[in-house]
Amino acid sequence: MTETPSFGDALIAAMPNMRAFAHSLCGDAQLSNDLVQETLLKAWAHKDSFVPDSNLKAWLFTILRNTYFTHYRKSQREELDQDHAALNASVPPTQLTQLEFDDMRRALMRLSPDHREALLLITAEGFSYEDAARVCGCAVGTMKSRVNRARSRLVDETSGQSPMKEHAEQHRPGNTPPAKSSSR
Amino acid sequence: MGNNFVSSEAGKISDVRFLMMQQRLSAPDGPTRNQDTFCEQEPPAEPEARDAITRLPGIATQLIGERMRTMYASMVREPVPDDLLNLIRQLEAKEASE
Repeated sequence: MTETPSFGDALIAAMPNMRAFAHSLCGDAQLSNDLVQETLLKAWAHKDSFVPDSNLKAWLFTILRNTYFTHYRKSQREELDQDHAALNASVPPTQLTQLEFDDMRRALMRLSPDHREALLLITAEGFSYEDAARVCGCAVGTMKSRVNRARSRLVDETSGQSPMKEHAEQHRPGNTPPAKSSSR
Repeated sequence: MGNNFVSSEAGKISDVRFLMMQQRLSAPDGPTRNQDTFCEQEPPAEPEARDAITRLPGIATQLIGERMRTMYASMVREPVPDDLLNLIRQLEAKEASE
C-alpha cells in the first residue's frame, strides 16, 4: 500500500520545473530562486484553496507567473534596464556553455514576456492549450496566437532575420506585460 | 551527460539558415503546414498569427522546438538548492508543531 504524498512532497517534486520555468521567464538564476521561494510560500499559505486531484503544477505555475509579472512591473516602474535579464542571463557552466544555447536563450529573452511564457508552457512544459490559457488568464485562441507568433519570431531570431524587431517592439510604448491570472 | 547531448546538438542552429533557404526554394507558394513537425498539435491559423504561420519553414521550426525543449530539460535537471528544500521541511515542521 503506497502512502499518499504530502502537500510538501508534491511541492518538492514540482520544484525543478518551477525553477526551469522561472529561470526561462526572467533569465536570472538568483531571481528565479527568489521567485520560486515566494511562490512556495504563497502556495503553502493558500494550500486550502488548492482543489485536490486538480493540476497542482498548473496551479503553482499560475502563482509563479503572477509573482514574476508583479516583479516585472515593479522593475519597469523603477526604470531598470529592460535588457537586464537578457544581458545577465546566467548560464550554468556545465550544461549551457555552448554558443547555440546562449543564442537560444538570448532569442527567448528577446520575445515579449507573454509570448515567452506561452512558448515555454506549450513547447517546453507540454501543457495543453487549455491549461496554459488558464495559467496565463487568457483565452485559448489567444494562447494559440501567442505560441505561433513566438515560434515565428524565434525562428527569425535564430536564423538571423530581423533580430532587433522584437527588441524594438518590446521598447515601444504600450507593450505591457499580460494581466494577472487567477490562481484558482 | 550534458556534454554528450550538447555535442550531438552542436551545429543544429547554425544549420537553420541553410535549411530555411533550402526549404523556401523547394516549397510551393502558399501555406504548407503539413511538414511542420512541432510535436504539439498545430492550432488553426488565427488572424493575428496568419502571416507568421505562412512564413514558418517546418524543419527550422522543428529544430527550434527541439533546441528549446532540450535547453529547458537541462534546466529541469539542475539540482534544487537546499534552502528551497529546507523551506518546505520547515513549513511542515512548523505546521506539525501548531
